[in-house]
Amino acid sequence: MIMNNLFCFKRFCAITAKELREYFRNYGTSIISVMGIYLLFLLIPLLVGGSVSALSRINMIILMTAVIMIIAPSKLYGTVNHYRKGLNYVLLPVSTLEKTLSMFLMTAVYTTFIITAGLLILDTVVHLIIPLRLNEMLFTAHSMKIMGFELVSLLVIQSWFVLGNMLFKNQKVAKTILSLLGLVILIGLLFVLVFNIIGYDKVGMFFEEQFSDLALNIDGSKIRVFGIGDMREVIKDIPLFKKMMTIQYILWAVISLGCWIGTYRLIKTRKY
Amino acid sequence: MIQINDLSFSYSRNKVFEHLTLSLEKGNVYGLLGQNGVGKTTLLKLVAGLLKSEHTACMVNGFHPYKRQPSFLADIYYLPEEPACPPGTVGELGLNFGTFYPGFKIEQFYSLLERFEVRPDKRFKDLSAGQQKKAHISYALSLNTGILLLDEPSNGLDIPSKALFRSIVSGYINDDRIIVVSTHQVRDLEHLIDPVIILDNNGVLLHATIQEISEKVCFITKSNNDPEALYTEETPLGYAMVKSNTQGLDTKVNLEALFNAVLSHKEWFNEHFKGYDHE
Repeated sequence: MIMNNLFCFKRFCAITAKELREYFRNYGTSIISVMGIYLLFLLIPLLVGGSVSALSRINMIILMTAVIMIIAPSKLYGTVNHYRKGLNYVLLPVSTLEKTLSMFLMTAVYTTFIITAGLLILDTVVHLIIPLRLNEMLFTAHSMKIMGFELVSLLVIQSWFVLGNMLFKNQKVAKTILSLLGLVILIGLLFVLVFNIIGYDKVGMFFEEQFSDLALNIDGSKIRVFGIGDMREVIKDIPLFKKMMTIQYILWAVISLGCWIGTYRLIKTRKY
Repeated sequence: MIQINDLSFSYSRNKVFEHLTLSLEKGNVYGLLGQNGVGKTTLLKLVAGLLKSEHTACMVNGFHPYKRQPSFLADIYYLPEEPACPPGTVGELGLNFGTFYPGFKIEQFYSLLERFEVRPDKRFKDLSAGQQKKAHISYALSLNTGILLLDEPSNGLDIPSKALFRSIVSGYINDDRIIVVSTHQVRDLEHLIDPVIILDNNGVLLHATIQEISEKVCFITKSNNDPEALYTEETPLGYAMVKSNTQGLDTKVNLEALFNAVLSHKEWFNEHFKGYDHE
């Protein structure tokens, strides 16, 4: 009985199926619009005789994906905490865990897959039609690796927006962006404080030491610097950056998990 | 069964209930009456688990509503006064949400829609407010939950629909169900609700069945005013009165007059209906 009230696979499938049915009605237009913008981004330079580099296409895909991922929570679940519109959702005989997991599946997994796959397919189709102007295919292991890393960081940011969607009653995206900016400023101030205590000279010297290793690494390798993703490849063997990357991944995991647990709590305890 | 035991509730500093005790049994259509702001909607929301109550203060079918467990939610439905309309068609409301309720019957939903003359293929946004209300009432009734909480269900309904609503709800109630109807439109639902619960800011003023009420008070119309009447209202036919039923008269309960009488003679009703305490 307790377990059944916490999680039931049949109920989870039912709510996921319901949300899948409603998905394109709620978010289809936005996804198609973003794909249209990407198509224009590819076609406009081609019409004036230019070409679009693989790097700028990857960056554009990441930007478009970021927009869709960030807006997804408010588009799909914007009414959940509304005192009137949220009633049918909250009164649905489905446990909070099932609701949260289904929300995760829709926003983090399904949306990310749909938009990334959609844009990549669109890019490939355009490439197949006019291969001379789009010099490289994006379906390569190298570009996938870069995009993979960016998608992971976008998922972390998205989890913050999922929490913001439950926390704020209106202008959810704008308020979440402001809260994110506030957080970044706060962390920045914290760093300034720490650097002040340690001393800027010491910090400068420390980083100089690390970057001298980095210069050697670049000289010693023939890696083509494609973007920030490649820079990460170059510096990944430096012990300091290795540690920093580990800390970053741990922090991302903690932030994401914290946001999703917070969302679960807010769904569970929201008063209407 | 709904068991409210020593319930206190407030919105920040605004106290709504203090030590409220109430028991609602299956097989009845309860009429929840009260002036604006006494907490009728709040009480329904507490029972539905939309607001937080203390663990033992509110128990519904053995569940603490605020935990919103699926087993609890599957057997209760709360229809607000102004339900929000989903973006799709009326039929989709049943298909997308109704299927989660074990008692939901799609044929019943369509049949009720037909009786209310609402087309299931119509989008909610294309319906009038009254038609939207009828669609929601059809949905709420077709869920077949053990507990149905209706907040001002007759608001926005046209006259034939009000009669139809009464007829449908009368046929809907059985020994396994509780319907709680919160309303100001007592005349619309006069022949439907029994027992009657009248709330005020201090709690329950009256909780009695129609039979108990008619045993204690009578509703008569006279050409002359009677100073002993608990409540008098001047009408084209004379003075409509609510009086203590000392002569054992069998009169039809006028809920509106009763409500006014209870508000103006709280102590009298408190004293005379103590024996009928349903708490």
